[in-house]
Amino acid sequence: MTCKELVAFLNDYREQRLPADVAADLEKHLDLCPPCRAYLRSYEETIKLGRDAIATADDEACREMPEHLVEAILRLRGSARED
Amino acid sequence: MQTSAEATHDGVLVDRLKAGDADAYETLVRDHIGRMLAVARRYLRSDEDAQDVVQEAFLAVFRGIDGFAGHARLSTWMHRIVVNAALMRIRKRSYTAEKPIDDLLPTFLDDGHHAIEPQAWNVDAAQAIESAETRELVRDAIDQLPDGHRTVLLLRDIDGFDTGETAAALGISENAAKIRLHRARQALRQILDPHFSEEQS
Repeated sequence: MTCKELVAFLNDYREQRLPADVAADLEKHLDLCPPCRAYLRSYEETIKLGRDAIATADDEACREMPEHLVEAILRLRGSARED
Repeated sequence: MQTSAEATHDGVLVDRLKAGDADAYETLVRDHIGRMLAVARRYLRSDEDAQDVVQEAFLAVFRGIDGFAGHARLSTWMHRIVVNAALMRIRKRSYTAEKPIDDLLPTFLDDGHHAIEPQAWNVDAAQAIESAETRELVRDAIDQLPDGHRTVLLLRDIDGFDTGETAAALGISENAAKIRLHRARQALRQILDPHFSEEQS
């Protein structure tokens, strides 16, 4: 397996969707290839960083209470009921 | 996972909503508006659009509440509604011409080796994200992804949609959803790489 193939298969490998023989080839390559190990690790870190960055933004936003928007939405309730 | 206290809170609130209790509507809006706005904002680049979409989503909630059966948590159901409203807005606007993502994908030599060898990252996500600067950096990086890939990344990695749900929400095949997710993560990794690789730090 080449580095290019490994990168292409990476997510299927993480999600355990590869046939056993392909997964074994991939792991053999990983053992011998520090750049591919670095790629896999940083790919994992990327997913976590994305999740965490958004989750904290959400927590900040949850403390917001834009009154004009609350009122506009409550007014919409009238139109929803007339339908 | 729904706790029994949440289930009871939801159940009581939904009954009051179905009965047309005005106070219940206000509670619903105040309890959920912050999170609904946060979700809309991550899909849409303008705050005005995000506010419009939150209004549309609440209107859909008001119209749908009679049919809400309580199989899912109220917040989960509302989350789906605002995500779908935001996706519809992106489709209508077709925001920006889709940039090609190829420039952000790793390149390889003819023999299949990395053209540029990936370096280990000097980062522990849990620790890095404590810094407001890092959070901003990561959010900006996500915003740089082309819409078609950005939306798949948000749906799958952030909003908890599975592959089938993502494909359905975007009107694409499951295979396309899988490919886009992998490319989006690779591109995001590439954008973040100069900030986190050991060589740089």
